[in-house]
Amino acid sequence: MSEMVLRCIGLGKTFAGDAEALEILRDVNLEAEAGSTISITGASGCGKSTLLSILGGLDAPTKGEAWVDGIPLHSTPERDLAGFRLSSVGFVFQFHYLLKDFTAMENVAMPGIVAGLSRPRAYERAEGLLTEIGLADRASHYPSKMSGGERQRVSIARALMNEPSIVFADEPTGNLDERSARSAEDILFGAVAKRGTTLVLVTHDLRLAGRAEQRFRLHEGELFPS
Amino acid sequence: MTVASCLAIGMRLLVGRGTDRRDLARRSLRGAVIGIAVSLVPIVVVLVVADGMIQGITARYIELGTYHKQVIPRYSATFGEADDLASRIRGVSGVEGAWAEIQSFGVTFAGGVSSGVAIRAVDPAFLLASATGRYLETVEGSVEAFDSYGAIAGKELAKKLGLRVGDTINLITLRSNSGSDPKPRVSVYVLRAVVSSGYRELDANWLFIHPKAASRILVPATSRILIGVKIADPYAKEYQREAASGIPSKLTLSIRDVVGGNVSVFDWRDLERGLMDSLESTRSILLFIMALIVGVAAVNVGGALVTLVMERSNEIAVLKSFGMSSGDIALVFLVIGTIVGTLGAAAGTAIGAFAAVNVNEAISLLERSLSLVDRAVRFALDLPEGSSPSELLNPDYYLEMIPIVLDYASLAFIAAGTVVISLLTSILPARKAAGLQPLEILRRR
Repeated sequence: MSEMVLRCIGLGKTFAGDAEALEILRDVNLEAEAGSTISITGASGCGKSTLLSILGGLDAPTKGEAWVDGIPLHSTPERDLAGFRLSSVGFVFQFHYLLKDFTAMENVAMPGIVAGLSRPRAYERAEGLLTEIGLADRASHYPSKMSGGERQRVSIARALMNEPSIVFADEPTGNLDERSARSAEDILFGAVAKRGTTLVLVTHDLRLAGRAEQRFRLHEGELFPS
Repeated sequence: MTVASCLAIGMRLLVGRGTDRRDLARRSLRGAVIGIAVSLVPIVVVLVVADGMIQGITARYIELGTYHKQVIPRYSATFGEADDLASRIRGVSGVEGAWAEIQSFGVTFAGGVSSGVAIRAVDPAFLLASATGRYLETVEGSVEAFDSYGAIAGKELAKKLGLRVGDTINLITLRSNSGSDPKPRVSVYVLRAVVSSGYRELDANWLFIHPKAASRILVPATSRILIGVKIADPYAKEYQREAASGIPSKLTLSIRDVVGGNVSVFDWRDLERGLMDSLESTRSILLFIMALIVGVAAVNVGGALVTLVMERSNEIAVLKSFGMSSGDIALVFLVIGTIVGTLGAAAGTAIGAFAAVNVNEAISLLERSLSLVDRAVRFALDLPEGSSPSELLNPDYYLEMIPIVLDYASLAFIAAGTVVISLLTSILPARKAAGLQPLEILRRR
């Protein structure tokens, strides 16, 4: 039996509103084995991104338990979550969020440098990742000189830099044209499969969601298999 | 994350890739560097000029008037007795020169103009000594022609009385020795030389007469007799300690030994304490005002960093999302603030030092330019020639040439202080950056 990388039990998230509390997530239960791929679909505002943020240690649940890579996120203080995000998690957002003052190589290497890798070691690893995503010749280019698809591929490489156990992708192809989107998703699925990394992605795109081994739908804060 | 990596990231955020000139935060940071540099220039110039002025004025006082040390007999000595003490003091190890002098006051008049003067009856050897010659320029005549019928006047005094070498000068002193019924005595001298120390306050007051003339016209009740002593290093710390504590130095004890002990020995710091305090407090006030300007400029660093934090909030959020700690984020912004302060301090100190080193030439050029403008305006408006309005520094209070003293320790202290202030003003924006919640910012997109 494969190791369980993600487990959440009775997870809930409620935002305090002016008049009444807004319950975004309700009794969410989810498990993911190492190397598995999971997709979550749902209408806009149904809580997909909130769930991803909680599982990625960017937000805290108001109810339930969430364990990722052996870390109990529901009870881990905020200051300790930075280390968790650095070593266990990779993020791919809808927008690439590359640092505009840094080259593609430096952007990919950045999580490694933050984690304490020496710069030559980080650049060596980043070079390998850029080669893997077919952008070795763009290593010294700044984001402003790259296409949207290329930027998103660089952000995928950046998410894999510290060899995380799990990658969270939030609408990773939402800003791309179809051709670029296909290329980016091929790279994403190929890279996690090669490394045995767990992938959790949220998307509106049913075709993309269909590529995941396990598919879920979030509706009115509750998670259903789809 | 290592400090070197924070430094590298901070440098990149600060310098960027050099193509995005519209970047508001970066422009603000460049402005902060320039602001610090510009504000440091006057403080460096003031420091260098003030130190030069103080050193120059102090040197003139102690080389020409106060001497390095004064030995004052506690009994009513004649000039001859004082001269004998001086010759004995000259034999003390560490003493470079000693001269007897009688000091008094009087009024001079010539051509219907009068002026109060400080009468100095000095050993002619003092006026001919090389140390004296370094600070006392003979403007007219010759000090070697100094005799008991002659006098030497300061340049401003001669100018005020309209005297040239060879003219006669009248001196009024007090005749009575009792003090109960003072009567004036008028004596006449031939002006042998006109001298200048370069400091108008001294040049306007000094009238040198020969000791033989002094013994004829000066009475003990209105005069004092002293032996002026020059030593190898009047600024040495041991004499500074002596002046502060009152505990006599080895040299003072040696002088007392050779003259028999019935004398008082004073250091120049004791004798010119008021002047030194006045100069030092003027310098401190000027530096304090200038430091405020630097402080305001350094605060700009904080403002520019706040702009950078606001502009780069997305990048900060993404750095935090992939695990950069709040402490590392804060460190990056502290590094940027420190770099800005360092660049500004380095540029400001260098430009300030350059300006200070060339301040005499700059003032001279400015005065000549003002003079030209003044003449042009008078010519254009058909106005009569007037006295020159172009003396930027009134020589009544300043040296004619400002001695340049680059005190590297003080310059380093000012530069370091600026960097520290920049670092302190970076704390608030650094905390703001560290406190950004990545999720809130990423959601906004």
